[in-house]
Amino acid sequence: MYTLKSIARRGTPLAAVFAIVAATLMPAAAAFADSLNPLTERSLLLSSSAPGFQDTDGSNYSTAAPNPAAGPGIPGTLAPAGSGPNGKKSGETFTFKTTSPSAATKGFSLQYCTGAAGFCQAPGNNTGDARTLDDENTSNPGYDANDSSTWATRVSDRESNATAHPNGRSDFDVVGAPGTDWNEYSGTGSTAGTYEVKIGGVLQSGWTMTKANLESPYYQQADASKDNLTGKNNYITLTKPGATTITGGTQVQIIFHPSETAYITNPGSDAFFVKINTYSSDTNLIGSQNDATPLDSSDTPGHTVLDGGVTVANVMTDSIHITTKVLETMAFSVGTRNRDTVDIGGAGQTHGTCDPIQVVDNNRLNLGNPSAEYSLETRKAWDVNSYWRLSSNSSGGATVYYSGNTLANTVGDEIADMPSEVTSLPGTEQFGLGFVDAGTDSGQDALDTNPAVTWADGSKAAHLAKLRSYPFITLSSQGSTAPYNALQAQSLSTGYDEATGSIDDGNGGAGTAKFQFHKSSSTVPEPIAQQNETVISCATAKMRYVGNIAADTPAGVYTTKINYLAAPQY
Amino acid sequence: MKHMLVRLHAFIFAWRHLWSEELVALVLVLLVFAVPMTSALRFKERSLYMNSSVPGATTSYKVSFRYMTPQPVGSVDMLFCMNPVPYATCVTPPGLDVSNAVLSSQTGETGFSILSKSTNHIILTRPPTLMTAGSSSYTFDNIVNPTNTSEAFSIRLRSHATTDATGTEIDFGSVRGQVTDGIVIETQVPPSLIFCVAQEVSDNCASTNDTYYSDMGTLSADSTLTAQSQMAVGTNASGGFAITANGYPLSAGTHVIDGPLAPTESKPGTNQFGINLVENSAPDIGKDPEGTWANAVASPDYSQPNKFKYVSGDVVAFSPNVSLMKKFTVSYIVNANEKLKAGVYTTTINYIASGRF
Repeated sequence: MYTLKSIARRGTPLAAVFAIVAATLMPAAAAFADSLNPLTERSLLLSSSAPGFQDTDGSNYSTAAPNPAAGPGIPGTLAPAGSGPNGKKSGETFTFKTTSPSAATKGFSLQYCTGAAGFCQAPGNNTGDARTLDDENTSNPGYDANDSSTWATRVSDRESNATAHPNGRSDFDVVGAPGTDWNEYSGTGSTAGTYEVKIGGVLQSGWTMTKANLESPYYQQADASKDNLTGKNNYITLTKPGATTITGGTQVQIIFHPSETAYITNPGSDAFFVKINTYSSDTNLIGSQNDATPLDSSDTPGHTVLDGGVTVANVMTDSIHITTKVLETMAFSVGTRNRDTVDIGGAGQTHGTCDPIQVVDNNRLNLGNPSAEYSLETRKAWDVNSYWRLSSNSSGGATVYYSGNTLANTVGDEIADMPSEVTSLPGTEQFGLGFVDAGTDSGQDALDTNPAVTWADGSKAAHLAKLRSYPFITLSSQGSTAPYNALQAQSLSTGYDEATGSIDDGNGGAGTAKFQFHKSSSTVPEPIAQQNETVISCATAKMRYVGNIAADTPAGVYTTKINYLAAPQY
Repeated sequence: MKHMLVRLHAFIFAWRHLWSEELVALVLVLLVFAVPMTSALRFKERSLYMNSSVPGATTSYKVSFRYMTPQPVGSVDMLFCMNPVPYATCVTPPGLDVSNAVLSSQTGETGFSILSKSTNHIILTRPPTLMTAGSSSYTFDNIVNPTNTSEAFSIRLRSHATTDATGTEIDFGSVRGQVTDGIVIETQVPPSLIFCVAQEVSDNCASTNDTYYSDMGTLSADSTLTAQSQMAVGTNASGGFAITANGYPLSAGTHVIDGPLAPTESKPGTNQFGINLVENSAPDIGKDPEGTWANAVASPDYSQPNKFKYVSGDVVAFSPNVSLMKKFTVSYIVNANEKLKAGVYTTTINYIASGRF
């Protein structure tokens, strides 16, 4: 307890001292940075605040090491250049307003430093020092701490980013050759690998970009291990020979859009400052903020700086990684009644978006003339319907099969199946099936008419619009209509997609609807619907069965059981 | 307050003997590094193909997936549960039984055999082998489907470097399947039997000459009296039809001209009343059955040319199964010896067609 009191007693004045010093120094620094006309409302927007050694998505896939399952519809990485997780290949947007009235502007410079003012050290935390002049070797003959020309030479041993990134370190760098990898954005086409200059919101043209290293050999810190230079590109200029008049208070935007070959690499940690200047010259960009050697005598007299300012950005040492799992789902229902057509009682009752198809009377359907104990006739065709409904989050789609024998009696007599898609023809033994539209809102497909009932889709009309087989193309008429026309062809359904229409002509002749059925499906299930493109939100299919007999079809009770199978591919 | 701090200090001091700061730090470091060590990849292109979706049926399953991690795989663990969540309690799908499963085929990464199996668990094993093929499939026979049609079930998949599915998993994932009630379709084909008899009938019984009486003439010991009639028949009875001839032989009061009990040639001068259903030359009468349905035939005793028989109740024509429209011509012969009592001999023959539905 005594220790706590002691810390509190001694810490409070100490904190106060720190606060006073900080409050004193910060305005001074800002004043130094903005020694000329200030640029106002300065901001820097990074496309990524991840450290420069990070370029992977949540699954650790990157452009360099993409998802091995990449292919159509599956990106190699979710962290391409310019994306939030990619600090290695980032882009930047500078926004500021000038203050000089009607300044004839020919240049902009952006210098990236670890401090807001004073000598510039480029941001980064790679190991080694890029200096080629040794400011610490005081034994060199004629050594003058204020004249770098008297310093001994040394060899740079600064780590490259290629070496540092695997070890979690990174130096700020501008990668890509201006004019080759970096090009001025024309206003059309892809922005990848381009830069833009916008004045007053208007895209400009004719600006040329350069990049360079501009660090000061005089940069020093009390801790010598922290005053190493990176030697990387930390200085960008944009110039245009013809003067552009910028009225004071006009907003200027400088945007760098990264690509896989032209990008800006963030430092590995900590904040960095960008010194922004505008110039009246396009060939002689001179200003105190970007003078690497202000202490020597080589400076050209006279600054060309119009306005200046500093902005700051910070690199998060680590991104927020959010991981969750979406587990495999599947709901497949087969029945004889669409629950959406049932009056469920009105007020307080809701039809869900994908209620299961109902099983009624154990899914038993009577096929034939109801006035003759559901018997088939030689001069008239008869049909019945069932439904299946599938939803699954399987990204590889799903395949639906049927399996079953043709109609048969107990002594082995069978009504012939329909091995190919043909029209219904009374007087000929036929048993087949095919798809019809489940969303006609008429007849047995008429949706619940109770006005008091509510619909989870928002309205009955909205629900009806979703009552379809999408993303399965089950009708021949669907292929050219939205949203089916965006899907690839689904050949497996083409033998079953023309079951809409009449099943006889009323005089014992053929109808227009076509059906197919393979009794071999009893042992080898027959695929009737397949799509491999997308998940299945809620696909509803209505099946139509037709039965015809010939005069010599043996009498008896004929039955069959058709099973449907769904095989999603996750 | 002071007492509480003292007790807290004593408590912490006691635990420090077991958990020093260094040990706690080591545990934390291990936790940090242990997570990447176990970060497996998810199998791709996973699917389950069930050869039958009938609840409770014994069928085959084909489990397909693509291995993702390029490491040697020695075993694949397949756990059948209602829930696909890897670490959730596994509830066995009701009715499912894979304890008799047989690995009948495998593609892609092969060389596996079943190491162990239980009601809801199969472990495939092989000598750890570096993968050469990504997409693979494994087909199991003798799997009994679950019986719950209201909910999908899952197979939790894991691959391991070990041969017994222990240790760190390499890849993982789940597939789902569902059994469903089939659609039962029931119908009837109504029975039909078409039969007509007259002196002359059309092939499909659409018409007859409406003549049912024949005067055969005057008997004598020197000649044979003849007559003929026709009948057509068709049925969709799966057991076919049978036509019987019923009635007394020709008789006049108590005097009867009996029919032969076996097929017999026509013999003028003997008392004979017989019929057959084929073409004859002695006497020249009759026709062979007409129609395309070869399965409808005259009975053997009534299908021998020039031989006649008549036993009331005999089946004279039949088919073993469905037969549409066959026309039979029945030939009648009468012979008499010279001692036959005078009189008017008559008979009425009824033909009865029955379907065997």
